[in-house]
Amino acid sequence: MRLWRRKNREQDLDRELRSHLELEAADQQEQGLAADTARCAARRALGNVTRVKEQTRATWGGALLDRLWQDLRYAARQLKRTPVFALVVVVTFAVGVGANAALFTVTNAVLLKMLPVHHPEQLVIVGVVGPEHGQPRYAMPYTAYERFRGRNQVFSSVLAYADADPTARIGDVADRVHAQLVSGSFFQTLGVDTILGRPILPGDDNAGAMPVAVISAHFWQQQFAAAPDVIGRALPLNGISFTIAGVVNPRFPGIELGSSPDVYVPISLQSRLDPGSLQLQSSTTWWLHIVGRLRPGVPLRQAQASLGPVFQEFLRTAVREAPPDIPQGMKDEFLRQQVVVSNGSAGLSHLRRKFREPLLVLMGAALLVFLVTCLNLASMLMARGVARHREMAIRPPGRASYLSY
Amino acid sequence: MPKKSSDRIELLQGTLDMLILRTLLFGPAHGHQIAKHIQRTTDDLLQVEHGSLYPALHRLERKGWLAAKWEAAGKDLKREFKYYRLTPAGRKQLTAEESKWKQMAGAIARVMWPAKEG
Repeated sequence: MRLWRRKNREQDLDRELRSHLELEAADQQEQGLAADTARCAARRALGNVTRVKEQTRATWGGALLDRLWQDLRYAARQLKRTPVFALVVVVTFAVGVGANAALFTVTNAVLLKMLPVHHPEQLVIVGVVGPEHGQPRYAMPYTAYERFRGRNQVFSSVLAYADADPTARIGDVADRVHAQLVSGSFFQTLGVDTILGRPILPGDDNAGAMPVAVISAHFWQQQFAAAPDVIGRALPLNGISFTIAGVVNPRFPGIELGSSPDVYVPISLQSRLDPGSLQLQSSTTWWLHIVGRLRPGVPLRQAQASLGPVFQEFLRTAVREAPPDIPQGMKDEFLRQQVVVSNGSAGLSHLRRKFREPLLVLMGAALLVFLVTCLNLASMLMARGVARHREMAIRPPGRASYLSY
Repeated sequence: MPKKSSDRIELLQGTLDMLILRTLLFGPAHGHQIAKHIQRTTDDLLQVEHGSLYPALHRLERKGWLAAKWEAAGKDLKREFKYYRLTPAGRKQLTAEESKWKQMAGAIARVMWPAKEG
């Protein structure tokens, strides 16, 4: 519409100026000039026609948009004239932007994003440091978890989990799956729900609990074609028939970033999944990750101070119950372990601990490379600007502005 | 014959609009007629570059002070010219500019020839 009107106006102006020239030439001829001299005189009197047209167009409004459109077309023509340069610029930018986007995605997932659970800022990870005060280990015996669950004033609830890789038999295919043994408090503490069926519940902690399994939405889609009647079906794990009780909300990718379990099973079934091991009774097998939800307003420091005595009591009990043939030095060392509490809002991620610094360095490097790229492109453009020196030199005499084309 | 260019006076900035509006008070005219009229009435003293007329005409049209229409004219009505006509808003504008011009001319006169007063 607009362009059509503009074309009309353009023809209109053309016609108007042409008739002016004709009339003026006729006037001059009447005063005795020869036909072609008269035409020249008329042109002289009017001035630079292109300039007049330009100035008239400027009064039409929308000049800014027209100018912009002209600039774009000019830029496109320039790029077409130097395709190699254009290609280099495009590829450079594509690589720079792509690398940055990719790295940021990873950095975001590993370092920045919070767990998609209820109040992630209240979650803390319970770990232990040895007498040599090295890096904390985030592993605890089940008996320690029971103590933390029973006797503390700082957590509103505590969960425990451990990884396992049982063999699942689906149809005729047997395959290892990524499973997590979770305490009955796991889903409730995190505030994660299911889209089908029920999650693992505190009732599943009892010694005689039924073998139930809760599967991830991904696993449900992959192995069961998202069948709506999957609840109640059997899922044999390590030869034991588990009953599928629920499908986890896909918004929850798993408590550890970078590892999404296929199946969740109650921790009470540990010894049935792994016959012969009695890890639930052991006080010296450090295999469980413990995550607590702080009561509102309790700071990290207070949580640690409060858990200290509970943990010491657990250690003393463990030493008391230890077989008598354990050397005293070993027991002393065992007793000098201390509990530590750290922030778990971004998920209990080994990736996070391991890759934090390398990732930041990489991210920084990618940004720097991109900056250098931009600088290089800028200097290339400047070099081209010098090459356009002659073009710029003829602009003012031609009464074209430097900026419009 | 036109005067020598050294005798001509450059048009004061902003006065061209007023002159165009005043010229059209007599009735519709096309660009060439307007230019000729201004030249003739001032005995060729005012130098109106014909080229500067058209941007001014289009600007005035856009502001709504002029209306334009292609109309046939000439001996046998064979050719069409773009005729500009004063609108009521243009008439009002002319009055405003005229009084402004009078005030300015008066003020300048009082500075240049102060004796006449007292």
